[in-house]
Amino acid sequence: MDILIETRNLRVLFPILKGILRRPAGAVRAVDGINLVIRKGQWLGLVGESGCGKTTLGKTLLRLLRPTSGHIYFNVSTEIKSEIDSLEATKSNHARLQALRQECDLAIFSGRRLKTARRKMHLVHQDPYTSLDPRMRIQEIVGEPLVVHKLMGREQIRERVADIIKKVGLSEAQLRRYPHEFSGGQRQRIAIARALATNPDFIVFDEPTSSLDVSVQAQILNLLKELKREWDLTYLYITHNLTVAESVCDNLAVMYLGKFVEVGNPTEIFHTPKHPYSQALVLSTPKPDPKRKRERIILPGEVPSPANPPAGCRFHPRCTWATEECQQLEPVLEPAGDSRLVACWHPLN
Amino acid sequence: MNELIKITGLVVRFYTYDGVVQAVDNIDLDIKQAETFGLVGETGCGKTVTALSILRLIPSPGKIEAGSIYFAVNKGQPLDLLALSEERVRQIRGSRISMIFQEPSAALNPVFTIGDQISEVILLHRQAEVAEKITKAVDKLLAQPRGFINIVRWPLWRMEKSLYQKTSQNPRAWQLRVVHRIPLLRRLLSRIKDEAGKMALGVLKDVEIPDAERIFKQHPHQLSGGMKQRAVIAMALACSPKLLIADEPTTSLDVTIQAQILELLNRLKVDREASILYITHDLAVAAEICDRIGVMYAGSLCEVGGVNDMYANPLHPYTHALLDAVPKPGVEPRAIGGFLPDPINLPSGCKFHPRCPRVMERCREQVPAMREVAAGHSVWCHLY
Repeated sequence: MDILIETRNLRVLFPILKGILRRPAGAVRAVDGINLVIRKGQWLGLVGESGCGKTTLGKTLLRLLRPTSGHIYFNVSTEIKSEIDSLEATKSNHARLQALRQECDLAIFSGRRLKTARRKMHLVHQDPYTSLDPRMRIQEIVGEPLVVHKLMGREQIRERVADIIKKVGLSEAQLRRYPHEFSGGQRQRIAIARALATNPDFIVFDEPTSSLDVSVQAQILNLLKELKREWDLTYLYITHNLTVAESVCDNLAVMYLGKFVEVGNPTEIFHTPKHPYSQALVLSTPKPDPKRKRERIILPGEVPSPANPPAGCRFHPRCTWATEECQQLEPVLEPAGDSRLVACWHPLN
Repeated sequence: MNELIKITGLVVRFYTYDGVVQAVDNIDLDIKQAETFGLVGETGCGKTVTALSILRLIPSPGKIEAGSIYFAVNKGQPLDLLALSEERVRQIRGSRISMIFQEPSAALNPVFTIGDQISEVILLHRQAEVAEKITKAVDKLLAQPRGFINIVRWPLWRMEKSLYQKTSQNPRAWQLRVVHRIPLLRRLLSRIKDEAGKMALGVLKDVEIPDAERIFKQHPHQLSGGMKQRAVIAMALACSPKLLIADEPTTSLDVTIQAQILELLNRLKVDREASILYITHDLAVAAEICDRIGVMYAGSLCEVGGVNDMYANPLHPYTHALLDAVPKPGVEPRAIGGFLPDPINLPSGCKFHPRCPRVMERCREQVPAMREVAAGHSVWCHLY
């Protein structure tokens, strides 16, 4: 399969400004050196606790945030990527490097080029109660991306919106209503319809079901699956619930404090987690089985502040198996077994 | 085991401009001593309204139309909460029965510190206890050898002692209220605040908040979601209630923090021999913490049973559907067909019949009656 999105050493830092002069006094390292590969037609799950940078990563991929350093390639051929890499390594032809990056690196796009690129990607927000403008009709909400990108005339927009709204399981008659007239699940369907309007290749879902009922969550997940098959889409699905990720995604990345700790097949990660953090996530996810009650390991404490991450392995203060080595040296993502990457000095199993 | 709460024939209606919403329709439910009862259902099925009617907190235009809620406070005759005066209910609310809300940031006041907010509960419901402690402290001061400086303070201490003695006998003594009104005398009350603060700190430590002294002085916006929820739990537990109502306390939290909070609730329940009414829409969470579970749909109960029974042998088609909707490893979640019914025009007969895969002719006309299939496992369905 072709690679649709690739990032190289992506970093997003938010400076902490202090004093009257607003001098930077440090930085929140929200995304810290991420190398991500998403293939065409893949459904990648991104799992982690709140504050670990998963939303920041999702927004940076869509260039809603500007990365501090690193590259984002969206649908770029391998030759160009390797040419940029070699130019960067040798530091020989600076002008050529700049020209290539202007052309292909989403991380430094701006203006018209950025807008064109964004037509092919979209975001579905976490909370459907705040992501829809209460003063706009559904017709306007769903059609807005088409108006912004000046893709078609008014009549065509109306037809297209009616077409999409039926695809997400709502009726054409509901197009003249306002968001407050809909339930949470229906609103999320509207948000999905808006994301589909410009016929994108790539959609980021930022915890789309965390504010919905379990029964509605199942409906939305089934809808996503159907749409993906029909429209040949690529998804990045951000969630904190590993069971959801396991049941729908075909690749999974576990994130902790701005870094990936484990990447691989969701079923394998779920059943034989290699990183202690993945294991903790698996064990703390509730399962509908009352007999399992007493065999839980509970992860102590909370995610440390990303402004001041712990030295060595970032997970070591909460890890049961932490040793001297973990406190001093930071592990890197290494292959462990087939098709699995783990960043841990003492992988489990 | 005895029943702590016994709800019989509860009916709650909301009189809206569009029509009458039957939020809770003739519910019979009991919660036993020292158990966790889970109330499970989709949004709008009436689980929160049921919990709020136990506290008599149904907001207007809602009304409790019929039924009774018996609460076994002490060893004596159970009280009917719905027949009590507003004054008596206010004494029970927050002290014998307390509630944890879904959104911890909305449940806390942003302009007061966590410590102040917990002390407030203690001052409201445990003033006698606070006063008693202060009397003892003042007694100790009075027993000191009288030095030169103490001669000046001595009459003041005597005054304080008599004041707090009166308060400990009757928390709403007029003396205290008078002192409250007079600015110069108000400094006599500083001890109350200190003592309540000390007790609040103890409660904070009980809910396993790390670095409780620091959190005590912080405002809600300085805390993470999990910490805020712990503070809210501390507030609810400040008066050692017999019943704790938890309304989806972990929906807005991460799974790891959720596991911590569930463990905490479980431990507190065992330590304090309290009962918990746990409201959730997630059967997976309910399996983790509950002893018995009641499934609700559109204002009526569908099935009530012990947690092991319920998951091993679910009877009602709606319970089946809810269990199928929970994502499980290796299994695709299955959605429930159709949508929630309009609460103003509920379907006739069994309310679940338009979405039920095993619907029969009878379901459309007749409301199913309760049938006890096994000991402690009842179902409201024509299939059984």
